Amino acid sequence: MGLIKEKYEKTMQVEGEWNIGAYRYKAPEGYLDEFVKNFRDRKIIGTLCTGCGRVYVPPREICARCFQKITEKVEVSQYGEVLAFLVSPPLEKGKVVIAGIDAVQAGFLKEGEQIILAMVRFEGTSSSMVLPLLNAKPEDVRLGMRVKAVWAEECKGALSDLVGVEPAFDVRFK
Amino acid sequence: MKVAVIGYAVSNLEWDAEKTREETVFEVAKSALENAGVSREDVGTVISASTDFLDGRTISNCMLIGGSGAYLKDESKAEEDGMYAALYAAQRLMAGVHDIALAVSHTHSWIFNPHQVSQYMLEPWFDRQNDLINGITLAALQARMYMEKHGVDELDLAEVCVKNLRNAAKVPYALRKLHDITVEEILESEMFSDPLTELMIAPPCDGAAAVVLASENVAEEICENPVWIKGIGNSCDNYLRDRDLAKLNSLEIAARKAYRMAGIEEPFREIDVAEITERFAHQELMAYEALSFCREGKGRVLIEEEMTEVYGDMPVNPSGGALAGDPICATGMIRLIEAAKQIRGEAENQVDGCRTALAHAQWGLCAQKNLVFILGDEP
Repeated sequence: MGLIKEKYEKTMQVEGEWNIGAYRYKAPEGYLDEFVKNFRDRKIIGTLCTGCGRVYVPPREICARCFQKITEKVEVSQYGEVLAFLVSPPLEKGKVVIAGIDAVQAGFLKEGEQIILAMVRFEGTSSSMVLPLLNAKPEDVRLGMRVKAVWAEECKGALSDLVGVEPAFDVRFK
Repeated sequence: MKVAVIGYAVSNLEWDAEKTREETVFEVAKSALENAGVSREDVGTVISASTDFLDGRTISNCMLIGGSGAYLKDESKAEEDGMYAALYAAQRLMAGVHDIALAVSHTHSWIFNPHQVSQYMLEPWFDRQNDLINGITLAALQARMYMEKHGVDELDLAEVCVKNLRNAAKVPYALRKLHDITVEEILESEMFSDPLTELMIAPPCDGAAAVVLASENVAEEICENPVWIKGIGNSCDNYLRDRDLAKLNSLEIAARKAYRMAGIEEPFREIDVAEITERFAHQELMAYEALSFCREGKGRVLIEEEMTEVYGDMPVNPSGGALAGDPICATGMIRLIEAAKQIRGEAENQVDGCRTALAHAQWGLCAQKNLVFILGDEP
């Protein structure tokens, strides 16, 4: 702890940190583990609410609308729709960590490249996921465009297996 | 039981304020009580609002007892916007337990940048794994969705900023006072996250606000011009991934509840002025629609036709709104105070013949939770 600077007559500043250590977040059984395990087979699993028929991806354990527990699981399509997107500032190494790995170091994003983040709703689901949109130029992205999931070359059953999404069709805009 | 606002105070909004957190709260609490013409002894209950994360200490109201005047009193804290503190205070008065309540709210953003922690509002399993997702990028995604759905472009967002920042030029405590700002300057300011530029994002700053509320009999007895709370509506939506981000459903429901309680059937005609919390420029347009000032998708028309200017048919944010200065937890309470000032005829950008005013506060990512107050000049 130390005094930083004497800028004002009436107040001074005391440096302080709040090091509260690591948290351990709990996820219900069959929620995160099963979702991620199925990534090994390149499958996306969602939960189906029997009250309203809505499918949630990533899985939700409780349906807020029906106020009931969700137990059913269904596989959902690899294809989806872009609900919204944004273009990030140029990337720096060591600055962007997605799903626990440095995207630049892992090689699927280049240093100095701009990354497009897309809010994707997979076919037949009622929720959305924010994923990187790969293999597309910012000027070619349109809302509502069809995209499909991109998987890592070797899927190990980790969250980083789902690298992002890419345009499902080669459409050229004029 | 009716409840009225009988006093208020707002501190200066600035970045890196010279006063400490406790001093700022003491200043506003004291001047709000003076403004109401009551002393600390008359106050029955004190509610404060701030967030522990931004204060850098937990149960942060413990250190604030001296400043807020809550010493040995019935005290509680809302970990939310200040308008929720006003809501709890009003509910305590309505229950008939107390006669006078003081609600204070404050945030010193300089202590810890709020955008730095917006990531920790995300759910930890999926969304927090992605470094690029935070409060601003999510708002940009929301803006993009809304703009695409209703054919709104960046110019319309810039128009909102121009209106609010020009209005703020007259407000003495505001942070961003830009009386000659133009649409081009807004669009050319630094791009934070496409389509949101620096001036389209509410600037976090240091500040505090306080209001004094009183129950029906006391308000009529001690105050010459009490401002009556006529309607209250509160609603909370789903987590951002499971809802339609392009529409503020929870605000629409909150507004409908408040209108019903206040007996308002045609909001556009019956409400004279609205003070809303727009953390990002596009949220003001979305709020026009959710508050039923226009049909869905027509928020753009109100701003293009200058209807929401101070001289327009439906003035919105004559104080400059959150874009003029955003002391996170005090922002909503300042909207409530500005709405009360309009009814009392004390506002800097006074709307002529103002008798009914609306105040709105939001909380959460992409305006997940919304609270609406309707104020009037008679009970």
